[in-house]
Amino acid sequence: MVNDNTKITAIIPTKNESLCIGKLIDCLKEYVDSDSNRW
Amino acid sequence: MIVIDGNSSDRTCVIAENHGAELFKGEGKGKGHDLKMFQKYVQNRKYDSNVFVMLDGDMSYHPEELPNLVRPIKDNKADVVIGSRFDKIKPEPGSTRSFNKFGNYLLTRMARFLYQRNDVTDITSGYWAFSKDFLMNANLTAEGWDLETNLFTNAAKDYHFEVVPIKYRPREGYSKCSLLHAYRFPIYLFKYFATGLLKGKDNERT
Repeated sequence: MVNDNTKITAIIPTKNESLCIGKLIDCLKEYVDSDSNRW
Repeated sequence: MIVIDGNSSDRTCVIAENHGAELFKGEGKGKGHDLKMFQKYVQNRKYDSNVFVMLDGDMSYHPEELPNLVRPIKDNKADVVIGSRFDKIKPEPGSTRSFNKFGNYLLTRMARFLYQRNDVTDITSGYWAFSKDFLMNANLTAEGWDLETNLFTNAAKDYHFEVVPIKYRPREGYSKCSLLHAYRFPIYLFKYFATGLLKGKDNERT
């Protein structure tokens, strides 16, 4: 289990997702690879 | 952000890198196989993230729901969170085919019975959150479509898990899961359940 200093990494398994992978990454940017305390 | 690519033949990898994601090249032998490779990668490196969220890359899951999945882990209530498409929130029309829905219902009922967890509502979900401890130590043996069943059996056996209702919309692109894959799901579930039982007995002996 984790405590307050939560750092999140999103894992996206893909195979031929060129239609939407860019959009998904852009949407996820707000939430991942940073301190979750801001949301 | 990590994109684990299973040998795409289109521009997925280029687009992912252009949008700032770190690309992890799998071998294309299946989702389970590639996650196992990623688990080894995390085990062998100092990775500073302590929560990992896995979601399918077809936009059928809502990225803005990520905080809801992370919260139980952040609050020390769970090690694993399953985003459930069939719990309180109705999936959008056109997002699930009848045989998927029925198959998932049967499989989930079986999982409830085997693991005595009535709160489970969707074990084939493509939206999961797990702690670093789980990712480092889960016994991942799945090669392909059995990944979610493998994650569930690990979570149900050795970890605290919670279920969070999520929205679900039609995917962009085509589904790679056919009826041919789906009929194997109950076999996977029994296999992992039996393996868990045998392992438990081995541990009792030692």
